[in-house]
Amino acid sequence: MKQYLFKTGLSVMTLVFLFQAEYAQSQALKVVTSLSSFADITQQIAGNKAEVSYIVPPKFNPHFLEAKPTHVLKLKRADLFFHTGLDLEAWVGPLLDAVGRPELRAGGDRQVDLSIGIQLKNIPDRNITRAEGDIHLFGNPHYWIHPENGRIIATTITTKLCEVLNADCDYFKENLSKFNLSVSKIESETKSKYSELLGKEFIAYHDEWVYLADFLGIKIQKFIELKPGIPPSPKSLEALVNYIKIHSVKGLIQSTFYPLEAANYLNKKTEIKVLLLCQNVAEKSECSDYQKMIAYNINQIGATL
Amino acid sequence: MEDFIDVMLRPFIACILLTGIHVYFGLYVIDRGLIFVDLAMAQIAALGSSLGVLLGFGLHSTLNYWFALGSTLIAAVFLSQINKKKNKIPTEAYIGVLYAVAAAITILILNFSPEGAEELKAKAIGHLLFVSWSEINSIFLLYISIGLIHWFLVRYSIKSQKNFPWSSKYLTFIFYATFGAVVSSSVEVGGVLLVFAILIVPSLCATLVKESFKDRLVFGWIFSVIVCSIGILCSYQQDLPTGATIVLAFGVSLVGVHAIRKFIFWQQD
Repeated sequence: MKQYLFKTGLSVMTLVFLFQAEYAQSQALKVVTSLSSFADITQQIAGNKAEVSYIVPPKFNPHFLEAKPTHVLKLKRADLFFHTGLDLEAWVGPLLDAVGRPELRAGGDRQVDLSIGIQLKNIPDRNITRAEGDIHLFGNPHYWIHPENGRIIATTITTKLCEVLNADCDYFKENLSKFNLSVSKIESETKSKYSELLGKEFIAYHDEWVYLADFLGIKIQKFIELKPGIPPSPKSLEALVNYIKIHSVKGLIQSTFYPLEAANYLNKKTEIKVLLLCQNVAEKSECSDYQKMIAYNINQIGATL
Repeated sequence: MEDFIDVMLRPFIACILLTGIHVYFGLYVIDRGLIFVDLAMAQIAALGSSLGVLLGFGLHSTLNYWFALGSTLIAAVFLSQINKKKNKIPTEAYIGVLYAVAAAITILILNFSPEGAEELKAKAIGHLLFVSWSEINSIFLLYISIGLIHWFLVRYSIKSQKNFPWSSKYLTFIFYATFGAVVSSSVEVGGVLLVFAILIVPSLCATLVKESFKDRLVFGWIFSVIVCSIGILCSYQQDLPTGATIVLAFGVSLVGVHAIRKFIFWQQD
């Protein structure tokens, strides 16, 4: 009888514990980010004070999104929404239409455009049309790849978290310091280790590495895409073959979600090294968090020396 | 439950509206043996829309819709010129060629458009999950107007002792033109695949089990709403893209209807 009571009591206590854990989790701030990189940075800052999820799967092109019911549900329940801003995520508008919460729209008090405070590159200095390719009107939106921008993003996230959960602000700031320290460490270590990369020439599939190129001092002037978003033609590939040979291009950089045929063709013709880097956290197993992603990308480029 | 209704109500209502007009058109399409006319029309609408995108009119803008509509009207003129009785070659052959050429031109156009492959994919699957109330209102008004035009024309055809409505060249043109207008709007919301599934599968099943046009229409409507509901429920439960899940549900339901029919015949034997 005693054994029976003991077992029942243990079961009840376990259930109460699980219920409390579940309740505590449901009480946590629900933060939704557009990209996995922002989700990782947010999780590092917010710790156990927030339940963080992202929308775009890291192995997919963030320009587009295959709409699923959970995307709508996530944002309906979100306390905060962190997104890239600019015009990277073309799906955000229709998704927020379906969600129907004005506070998550641009200018709303429950959303943050993480491009704020970032020194943007490639801002067009003239009127552009779609005929010139998928050129971003407000500048290149792939800014989170630069470690310095990672710190700016983390600061923006911390400011918003402090605004919403003021009581935990010190905790967030402490985590921000840890994050900044770890990113700065990678920054200083790799910058000195790969100083010889300065001025070296690379090519890329899509114009999405400008911020990383800026950090390492490498040049990326040619792309496999004819124009941003427009696939290559046979002639443009032939021209690239000649360019690679003439300019001794060190490597070809591309994300995992772009087709590999053109890269393989160029590799076969010129033996150029193809570097599949991470645009986002968890795009590859080596990029399991923001710091690892930054280190992986830099080390891959550095290995071409 | 509240979340489910909140997220899936608009796609469900859009599905009911698509059902209302497409099952009706589908019965004529099957009766005439022009099964792939919808795919061809949808592809032509996609071609017009792609051209609009290339010229700088956004995928879901009004001007882009006019490009899609204009293309389908041109196709309607072409299709109404093909006389089934006088022609040795089956009309489906022309429709097949029309589809293939339209698809090829779309690919060529989108080759010059940024992220063309993604645009093509978007055309195939539509944006049913994100459909807005204003889009629902627009397609409701369009479908009602086209429904009324058809009602009057069918009554006129019957009164003037014609065996089959849409028998003359002019009426055939009106049939294809209105069909094109419907498909242009439907593809925008549901995508090429879903529009084809709603047009053909319910009408096919209705033709298998019912005899009169009226019975087939009512059966097709009920059948389509049930299958759409199952597809929407599965999409929500399994977190799958809504349009593609409904198309799959239609495919499975067609197999189911055939199996049930076989079983009943087997029992009777």
